[in-house]
Amino acid sequence: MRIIAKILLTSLIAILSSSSLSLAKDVTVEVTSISASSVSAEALSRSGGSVMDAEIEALAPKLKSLFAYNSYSFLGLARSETEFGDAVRLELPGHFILEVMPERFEREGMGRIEMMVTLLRDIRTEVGGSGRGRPRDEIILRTKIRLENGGTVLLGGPPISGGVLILALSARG
Amino acid sequence: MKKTCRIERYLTAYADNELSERRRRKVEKHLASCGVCASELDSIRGFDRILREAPVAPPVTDEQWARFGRILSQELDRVERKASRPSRLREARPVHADPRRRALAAAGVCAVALLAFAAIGPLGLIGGPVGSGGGNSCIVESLETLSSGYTPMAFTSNDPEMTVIWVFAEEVEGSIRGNGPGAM
Repeated sequence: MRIIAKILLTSLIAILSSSSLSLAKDVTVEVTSISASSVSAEALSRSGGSVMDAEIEALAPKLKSLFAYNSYSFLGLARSETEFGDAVRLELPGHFILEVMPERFEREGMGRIEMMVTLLRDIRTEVGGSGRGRPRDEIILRTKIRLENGGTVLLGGPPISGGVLILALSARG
Repeated sequence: MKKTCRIERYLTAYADNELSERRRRKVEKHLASCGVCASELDSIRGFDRILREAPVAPPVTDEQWARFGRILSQELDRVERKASRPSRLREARPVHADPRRRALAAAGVCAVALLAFAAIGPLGLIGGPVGSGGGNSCIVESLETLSSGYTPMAFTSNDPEMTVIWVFAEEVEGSIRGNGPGAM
């Protein structure tokens, strides 16, 4: 009987600790930055038909299927954790910034994360002609999405160094 | 307890004349001195005779087979019902009656629940790295830009399953495949 009591007590402690963990649950946000462009046929033949950096090979079928670009370069990977209600600010290449604020979690099926996503660009403006700049954010896009937990959404379009910026945004709660 | 001879196992084969010459001689030598085996051999031969002399059974009609099937099925159902009733009671009664077994059952349920909880993770979510699993289903609730020169739009592709939120910049020609605006 003492063994059973011990099992029950351990179970209770474990359940309570799991519950407290779930209350302080984090959301992991990951952004893969890609530069997409269309290169000349000559350059393409030299590279064997298409250009795709190894870091984004996993996304290659989707990118090739969705877009008409023939060159995709990996620019960087940014990852951060935040909590529901707290915004995370991810600095991206080309002075772009992605702000992600998970707002709530829907438990249906695999679950969905409702979040506010804002894509900004840091524009340095001249102050009084002194030559010094101060950062100013230009809001390029603001969207509220409900992304399936662990899923990916693509954001893109702003021009970046000879191509366009494509962001693969994933979130897991 | 009846003592059995080692030779007894060869008696049926001997009666059917299926033994080798050497084995047959051995059996015959044994039968000459063993009354038990000789009696057993008589029984075997008598049974064979009955089988040979038995009248051939008339062929079974389809109707008879069908009737036999119905009766057999009913009988099996009856036996099954009879057998299942007391076994349920036997299993149920001690668990409710015995507090020790009830506590053990509760502990078992807790353990299974914990294991499931640990496997599935808090809030019923599947663990794993970001972007490596789950679907890509995304619902766009709102979409806007606060900068001039950009036009946002969203579309969802079924194959591959992916939602794309695209900002068309005035100075860049769109490059989305398919029928979307700016398709190449």
